[in-house]
Amino acid sequence: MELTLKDITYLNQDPLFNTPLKLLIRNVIDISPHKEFKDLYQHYDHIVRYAEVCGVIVGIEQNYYGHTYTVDDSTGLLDCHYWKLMDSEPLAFNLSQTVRLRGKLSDYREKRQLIIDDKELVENMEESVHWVEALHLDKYYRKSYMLPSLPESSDIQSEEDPFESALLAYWRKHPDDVYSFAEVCQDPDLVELAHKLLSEVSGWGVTEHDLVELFSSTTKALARAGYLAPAGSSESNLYRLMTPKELEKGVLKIINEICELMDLGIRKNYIIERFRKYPAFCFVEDSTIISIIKSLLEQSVLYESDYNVYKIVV
Amino acid sequence: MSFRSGQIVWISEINNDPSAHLNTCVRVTGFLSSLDLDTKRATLIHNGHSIILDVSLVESFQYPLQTLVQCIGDVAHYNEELSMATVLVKVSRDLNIVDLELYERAVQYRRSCEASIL
Repeated sequence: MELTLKDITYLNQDPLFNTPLKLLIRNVIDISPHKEFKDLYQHYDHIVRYAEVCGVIVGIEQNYYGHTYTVDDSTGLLDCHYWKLMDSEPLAFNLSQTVRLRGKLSDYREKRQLIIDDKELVENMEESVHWVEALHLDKYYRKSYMLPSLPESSDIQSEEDPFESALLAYWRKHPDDVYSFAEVCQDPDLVELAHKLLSEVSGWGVTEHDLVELFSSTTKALARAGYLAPAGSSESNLYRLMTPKELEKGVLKIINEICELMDLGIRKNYIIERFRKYPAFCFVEDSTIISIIKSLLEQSVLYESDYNVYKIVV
Repeated sequence: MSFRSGQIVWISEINNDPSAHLNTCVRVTGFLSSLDLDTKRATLIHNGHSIILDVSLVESFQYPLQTLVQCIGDVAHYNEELSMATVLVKVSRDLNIVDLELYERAVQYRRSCEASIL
């Protein structure tokens, strides 16, 4: 499941969610990915995403995009990846240096790694201090923490999410245009708002990756809610604004097609299944389609001939 | 050369049970008692126990004698006559500012915590 800003705000109630946990590398490797949320991990009763390790650099790899430092703290080896800010950025560390690295946990090609957000060279004794701190803090990490349950979200409109509202308002200013995802990410007002919102929920710096993730997850949420439709092939990443009328026409077209062949009511599940076969509606989720049917019932365009079976009012 | 994490082991532990440590990756600490740059061999001493270091893979292993040095490497073989193991070093560092006694206590604390967890 993709994380939305609402999910991040909810999970923030656990203080460990935004804290880089001081861990031994063995613990970092043993942590299991969260079953529901992508890029999150389960450590005892806590959902976590950041960690801090301290150890000796025993391997260095460089490529066009960044540097990978292999760190050994005598409990395990961990690849820690740093994305370069400039092409010519030199290596921050050399072999055998003792470093403290903080960053986001990640799995790449089924191998655990750390995406470095913060790095520093430390004195050799710091490594032993880190072991002691990690072992001592483990008692606190083990303490049980239950996140309070969420209120019913079925009535929450997308306008309540500030970034969703802003992104939707951007699209509504350009109703006839087709934009690529990358173009939307360049809008300065949206970028500034994204920065502001991410800074509020993140305990430390907002990265380019965080911004792109936010734009991506919000665009997909708007597509699922029926506000945006893909334009072009699935690889093109182009979107256009979709109107409620367009969605209603889609539902009516499906019902008309069957009614022209035989005078039968159409089941709700069939409408949903056929609706998503249209390329423009392929992302729309069930709840949105059901709300369109409800709206058509209220307008007396449709009537319910049987339980969850609909016909057009003639 | 293996790509495994170097387990912290005292020199005495390797010499007392060489078969258990052969072909494992270890992290050893001790004072540099000899260094021969021609043969790329050095000797490390800790608490009266010695170990031979093969530093042929390390570019700049040039520490003054009596420096407290820590090396990560593989236990390559054990010499029965000398009762000393040889460690093929891949990474080494100078620990001269480290308080060795405090370091030993930190290792002991870590081992006791790990034993209680397991």
